[in-house]
Amino acid sequence: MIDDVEVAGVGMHPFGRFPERHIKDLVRTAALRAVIDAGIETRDIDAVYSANALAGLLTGQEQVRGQTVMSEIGIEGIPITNVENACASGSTALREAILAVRAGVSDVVLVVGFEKMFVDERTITLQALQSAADLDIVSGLGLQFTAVYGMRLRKRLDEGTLKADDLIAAAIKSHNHGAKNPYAQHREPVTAEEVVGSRPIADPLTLLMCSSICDGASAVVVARRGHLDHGDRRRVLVRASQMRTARSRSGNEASVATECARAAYEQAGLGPEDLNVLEVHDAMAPGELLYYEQLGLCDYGDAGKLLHSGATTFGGTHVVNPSGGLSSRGHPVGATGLAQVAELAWQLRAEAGARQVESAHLAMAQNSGGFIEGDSAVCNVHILQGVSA
Amino acid sequence: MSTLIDALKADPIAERSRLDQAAGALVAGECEACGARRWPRRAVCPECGGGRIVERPLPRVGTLLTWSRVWVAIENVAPPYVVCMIDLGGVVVFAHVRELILDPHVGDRLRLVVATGERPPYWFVPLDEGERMPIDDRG
Repeated sequence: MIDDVEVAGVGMHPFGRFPERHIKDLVRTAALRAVIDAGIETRDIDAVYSANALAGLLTGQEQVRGQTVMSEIGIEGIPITNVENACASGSTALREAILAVRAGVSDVVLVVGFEKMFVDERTITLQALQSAADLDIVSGLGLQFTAVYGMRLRKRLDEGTLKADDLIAAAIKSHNHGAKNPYAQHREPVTAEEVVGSRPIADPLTLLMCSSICDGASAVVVARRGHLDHGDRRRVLVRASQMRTARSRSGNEASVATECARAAYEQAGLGPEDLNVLEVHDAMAPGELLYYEQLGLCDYGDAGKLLHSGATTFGGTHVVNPSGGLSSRGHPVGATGLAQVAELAWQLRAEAGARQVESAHLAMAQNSGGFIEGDSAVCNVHILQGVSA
Repeated sequence: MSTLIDALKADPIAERSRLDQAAGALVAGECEACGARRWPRRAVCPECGGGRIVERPLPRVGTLLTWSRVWVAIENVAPPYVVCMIDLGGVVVFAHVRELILDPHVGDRLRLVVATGERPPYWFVPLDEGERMPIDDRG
């Protein structure tokens, strides 16, 4: 059980294409917003965890990335740890910060996640993304993430436990949500015709079903509960923080997300029925359907039904990805996990504006990363609770 | 008694065989203690922690678990190409599928082709209905 850690502040730099901005610029915006939101100064921070996956390959800054971006905002001297777990880097950094507070080593910890993916040649970025799989094994196969999700969905379509309509509906829902999010990369609704007619990427996925190359940054301040004063503002408590690595396939094991979510529910003493709002790892929009099942929102085979029932969009009982998720908000790899938490913090504090989920008081963030043996390599699940001051 | 000491003596990755050109088969690792198999072969068994792993050739015919036709170019692989997950006697392998005339279907039987000079050095093709399976291909 966790009862002594809170999310004290959050901040984001919009996600999108920012060729004129350096990673230091992206981080400055997100980090200062989070620090100001927490009501503190930079000198109040005891430690930093910095999440980034690709800046080494894309900018050459392979080492000490966290220290370089923190220097821009005058943070020196304190421990700064660099964290990488592919697309799960942000939530991994958050997990470390939570552990530091729980261990009694730090009272206030800044967590930043950032990525700058637009470079001169798109193929360089696509190639860099390949390093999220075990190159020793899959090098030369062209096993892109789109193909990985394509294969997962193909199996379900063949089985009849998902329909093409479900995939299209997931993409439409994602874009509808993203349209309400000023931080999102894609802010226009899409029609079924547009989704189906967009460029094929990896069957059955089309362009409008996939998340895009994206720049962005997000930040979270984690603190010991009671250490900082937020006046009347609702508190955001951490109720669970769990991480799992995938097991190699030898049968029909539960997915890494399923295992991780089970552990998180147990740690929080809750079940999926208790959640109001979730941010899940839809690197491809239809991936959301798989996570409905893996996170326990419905039984295997019922994901399409759940989506079409309206339960997972605004007005529903379990709103999934109010932000637009990865597929519409965009997926700057190192930043995504913390952007999920920023969204959920706003939701739990009733500050989400046009995206506000009614009476949101229990939330889950599921952030997956990398690829190994047919599953995501890593998954982190956090459960957050909103309570009055 | 721990067999991790044996794992210290495993051959280096660069020398560890993954396929047998002569036999036309992928070579997996099989744990001496629990029988679990993985391809490529590892030094320690992920299921029981055993450090004694022996080579085991996999069947040359497998069952298609899933597939996707990819339309975007990457690392010198010219699109469109088909990637798949295939079950070779209980071991899951990722590979390309070639020589397709029609779209494959989950459950199709595919045959391994090994060509050590190429990259990747193995792929699968549809198994002809009338093709005789050698008796040593039982999974």
